[in-house]
Amino acid sequence: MTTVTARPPRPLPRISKIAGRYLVFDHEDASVLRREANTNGSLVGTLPQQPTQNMFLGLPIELRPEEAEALVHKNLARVVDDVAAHQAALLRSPESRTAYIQSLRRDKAAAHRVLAERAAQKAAVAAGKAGGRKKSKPKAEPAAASNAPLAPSDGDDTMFASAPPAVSSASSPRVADSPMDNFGVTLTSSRDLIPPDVDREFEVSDTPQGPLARYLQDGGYHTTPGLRFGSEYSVYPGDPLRFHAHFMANQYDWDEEIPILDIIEGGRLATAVKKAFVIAGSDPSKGEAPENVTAYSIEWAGM
Amino acid sequence: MAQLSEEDPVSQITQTVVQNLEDQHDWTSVETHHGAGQRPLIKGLPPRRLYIHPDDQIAALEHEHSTGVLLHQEPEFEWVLAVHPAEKWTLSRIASVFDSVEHAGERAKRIVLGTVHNDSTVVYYLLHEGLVKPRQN
Repeated sequence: MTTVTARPPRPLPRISKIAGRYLVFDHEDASVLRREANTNGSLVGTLPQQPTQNMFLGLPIELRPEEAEALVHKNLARVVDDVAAHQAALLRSPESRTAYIQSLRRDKAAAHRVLAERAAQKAAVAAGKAGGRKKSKPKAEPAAASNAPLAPSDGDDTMFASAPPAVSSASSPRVADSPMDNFGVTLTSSRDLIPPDVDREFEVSDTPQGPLARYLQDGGYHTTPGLRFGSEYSVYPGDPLRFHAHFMANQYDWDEEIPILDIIEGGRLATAVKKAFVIAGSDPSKGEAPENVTAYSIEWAGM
Repeated sequence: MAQLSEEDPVSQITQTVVQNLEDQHDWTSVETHHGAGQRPLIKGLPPRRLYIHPDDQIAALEHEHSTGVLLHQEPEFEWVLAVHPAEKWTLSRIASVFDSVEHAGERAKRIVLGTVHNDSTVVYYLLHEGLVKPRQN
């Protein structure tokens, strides 16, 4: 694992437990887990306008319970009961609500700034092209474009209200001038709503564990759902964007019966897709540590 | 076959695998080992190296490329466990089979699973201990 010294320490990535599912909403947390804890999860988020979307999904990422548990066990993440934490944070004091609205304003102002810069850059490029052909009016356009996004004031309060604020009658021509006035920030995380102490109060510790998930996490392997190859996990030697899976893995109890035909089927299929079929479990008499997990890799013998 | 049918099914399928190894796959020095209370294991020498780890294979190819000498060609003794597809095994039983494999120095890294169907088809699968990355077939 690489330690980055330049940045200030971040709190541990936060896994939200909602309705029995383990979700990561913060994109920075998701990238930390991916980069430093070899856990990629599955993107499960759709656009609000497209709830039936089933391709090109976005945040949040969902982790399987045993994956979340493996991270908590290695102190790489924490699981928080998200509903309880939100209720507690919202009911705590009026100041917390005010602070939250302030943080939303900050986010919105930051987004405005970025968009204004981008618009100014585009305008400058366009002006440069126009200027190449005809040098008569190079400056009028970029000036107008870069001024427009800066027009909305900080007092703009349309964050929650879908209706325009009190100045609605006066503002309608302004809306026509600049689309930025109706600009809304789509929140991807409510990180600023919940203070750290409340967050800690609702940490969850009873996540069900899986010895195989711990073993794979410990060994630096990435996993994705194994449905594609008929197993519980597809196991990758590195980031799934860079590598093909090496294994399709199933977890069994130490004394759980495994039909030989299942082993042959798994081995046959895995070999056909250049993988090995893995069956694994932990001997309860040896304890739950990852090094006590026994795994067997099965592949066709070629004869 | 009449004399075999009086024996128990395990020794029957073991015997079938032994015959298949000798007659179809040209294995030599095939013998059956009966551990105490364990399933019989077949030990034999294949005509060619049965398994090369993919990393060793890459190293061997590079070595061959630079020196012209082939590496890892000599066959090794393999241990074969005969099973029937109707059987059910557990991880603990597989572990006890690995524990029972006789070894002078290093512990056996793999066994070969020889599965006998009723129509006497035998298929062979390698069962490695640990996560062993697959060969590029």
